Amino acid sequence: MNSDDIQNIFFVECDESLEAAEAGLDACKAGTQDGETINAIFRAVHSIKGGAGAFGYAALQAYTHCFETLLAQVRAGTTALTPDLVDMLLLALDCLRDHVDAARSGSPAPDDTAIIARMEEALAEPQADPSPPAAGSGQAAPEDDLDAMLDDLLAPRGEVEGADPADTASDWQLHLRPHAGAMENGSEPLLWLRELAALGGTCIACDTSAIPPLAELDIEQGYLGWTFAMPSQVSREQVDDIFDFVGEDCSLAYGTGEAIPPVRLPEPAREQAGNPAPAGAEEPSPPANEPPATRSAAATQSIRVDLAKLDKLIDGVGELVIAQAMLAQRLSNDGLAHIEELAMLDGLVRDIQEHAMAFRAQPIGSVFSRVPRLLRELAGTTGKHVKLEVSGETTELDKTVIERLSEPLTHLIRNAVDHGIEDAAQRQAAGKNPEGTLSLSAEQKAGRIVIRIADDGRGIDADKVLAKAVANGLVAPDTRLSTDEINDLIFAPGFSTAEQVSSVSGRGVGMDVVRQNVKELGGRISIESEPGKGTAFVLALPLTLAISDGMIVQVGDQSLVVPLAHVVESLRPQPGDLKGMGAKRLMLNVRGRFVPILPLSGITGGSAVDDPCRGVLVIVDTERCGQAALLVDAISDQRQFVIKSLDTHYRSVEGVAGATILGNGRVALIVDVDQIVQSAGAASSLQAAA
Amino acid sequence: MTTIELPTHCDRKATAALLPELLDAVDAGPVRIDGAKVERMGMAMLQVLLAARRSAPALKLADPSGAMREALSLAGQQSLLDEGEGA
Repeated sequence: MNSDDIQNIFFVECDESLEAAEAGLDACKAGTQDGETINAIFRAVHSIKGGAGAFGYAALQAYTHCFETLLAQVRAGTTALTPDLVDMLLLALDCLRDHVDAARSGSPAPDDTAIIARMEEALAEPQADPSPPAAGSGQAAPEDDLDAMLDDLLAPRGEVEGADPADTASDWQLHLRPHAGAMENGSEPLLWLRELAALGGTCIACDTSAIPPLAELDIEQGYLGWTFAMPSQVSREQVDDIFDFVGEDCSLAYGTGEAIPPVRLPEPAREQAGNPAPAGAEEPSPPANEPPATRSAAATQSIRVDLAKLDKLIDGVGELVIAQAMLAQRLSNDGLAHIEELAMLDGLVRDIQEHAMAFRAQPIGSVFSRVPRLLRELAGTTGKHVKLEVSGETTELDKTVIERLSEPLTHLIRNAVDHGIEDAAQRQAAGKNPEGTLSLSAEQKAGRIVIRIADDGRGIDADKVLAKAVANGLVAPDTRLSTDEINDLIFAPGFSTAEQVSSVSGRGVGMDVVRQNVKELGGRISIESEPGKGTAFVLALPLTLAISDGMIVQVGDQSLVVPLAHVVESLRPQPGDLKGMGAKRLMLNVRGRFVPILPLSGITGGSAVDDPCRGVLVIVDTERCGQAALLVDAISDQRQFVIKSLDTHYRSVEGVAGATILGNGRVALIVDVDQIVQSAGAASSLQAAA
Repeated sequence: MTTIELPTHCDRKATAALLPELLDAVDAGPVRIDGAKVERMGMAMLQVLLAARRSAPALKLADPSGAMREALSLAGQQSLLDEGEGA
């Protein structure tokens, strides 16, 4: 692992810290202002600062220092965490994110003068008590108690006041010994002690026994060691965070059974000073220091793996799926299709595939967590304050889907705030809460992830949309459209209903791009809107992009794959179920509803069954054009298939979403159901004519 | 009695600069350390003060600033603030 790798890890951790801090501040905003929440925010900023220092990102380090100082005051209770301060801290966090981005990309640091000035102002205001309440031993002896102090000083192992074992009944102990390097590169052990004290820790022993006479003292050397009693509610992770970037320069030991680690002196002659066992460390202590030990076991539950290695594994699993299909085909040729071993292999391959895909799965919360910032920025530009409600943020989906989801989601949210949610005055006039609400939800439904972005704004004004579409020449003036079809016009290229084009949500190039983005992810987008009540955009996305379930159909001498996500049912019709429409078109009566029949031979060319009563109709559901019945010769199989991009290996072909390799080694095209149904005729004529 | 004034920032660098002066002063006789200006105190300075007190028990630490008191308290070394033996 080289330093670039380590830096990459630092930036990954920065992202995690930023998320943790944002979550903490959101919790504070919602009213949860307990010590642990504030501590989590502090730790997050602190760990970014530590890394920034280690990698020499001076601007980032300076900024986080200022941020951290303010958070330390908040944590110590010297600065009150008012709603205004929480808002300011959120802005400060946005700026921190910009700082991290700048450090990552090597671009100039953002302008932070204004926010630093505000933080310094907040720092300056309430600083009535310069020392944090938890600092130090908490019970400083009166200054005139000189005898007691002298005793302390002269004791070979500096026992310290305030170390009544009864006081620390439920505490656990931390022993630390900074070494020579601990005072280099701007590191300062006394600052660590300050942080321990800020967590509620108390110095119960300071080992001064290694201090040499002044003439022999080496400035670079660490001679002191400490034992701190930490409150039981403080976890070992919290303490470890303080020493995150210290490394070998400070030895740590935990628990009453341990002592302050020995000094590390260069000359062997000084080794006798190397094994001090301070009195404080040997104090009888209750068994309450077990929790740290158990927590350390839990800390090693995850590892970081390079994404490229993971993708290789997933590629390998894809090939395994194909090889398994080939084997099945071969065995089937020899009449062994139903042997137990093959079924076992099939199950195992499916398990491995699911587990491999799970590696790439990430909670959608990583996308949702960026939304609060977006809303803050939008509040700044539009003046609309919007409350965010999030649910299902732990729903997992493929990393690539997550990454590519961010853009369409941002667009939809900008649209919701800019166009959907009315301004405060309009809302009040309509009897609504002046503050709008945006709800984001995610859930897994029938093998797909359904994401819903809903606002409680004015809803889509169908008349306005239609008028605009007519004015833009998107539809003929006399066209009769259903409300859903009118809503759908929003996705037409070059459409915008904003009375004034704003800088917030685009110039009408947005929504068709959103639909395209979602479609590229193998997903679909639909609108639910109620005038005056609000609008919801519903995205249905596949769990993964690499392997999917499909129906293998025969058309002429070709095999095609119809993605199972589209398939509703399949049937062989009776002549009475069919109804001609125009010269060539046939409609199928499905329990009283008529859906158009589309022969798939258009893709394959060559001869294929053209009488639906001799072939099979696969009824599919599409994103925009309702249902259709695809006419094929026969259905031969239903299985998992590995999606290979045609664009990468050949070029994009209309009506074809990609290709896959079948068990017999032949290439089969994957049908782009949406495109085929859409291009088969005008959308309106394809709607079910019930 | 020699008086040595501690700088505002008692970091490692400042400590290294102060050490020769302190050594001379301790050799010469009673020493008074003035900590009134201290705003930041580091472990290096703390170690030097402890070593100086060990070498010269009469060493007196006078007028400690709030920051210095806090640092000594954090490190469990408020006892440095005593009057010094025989002072």
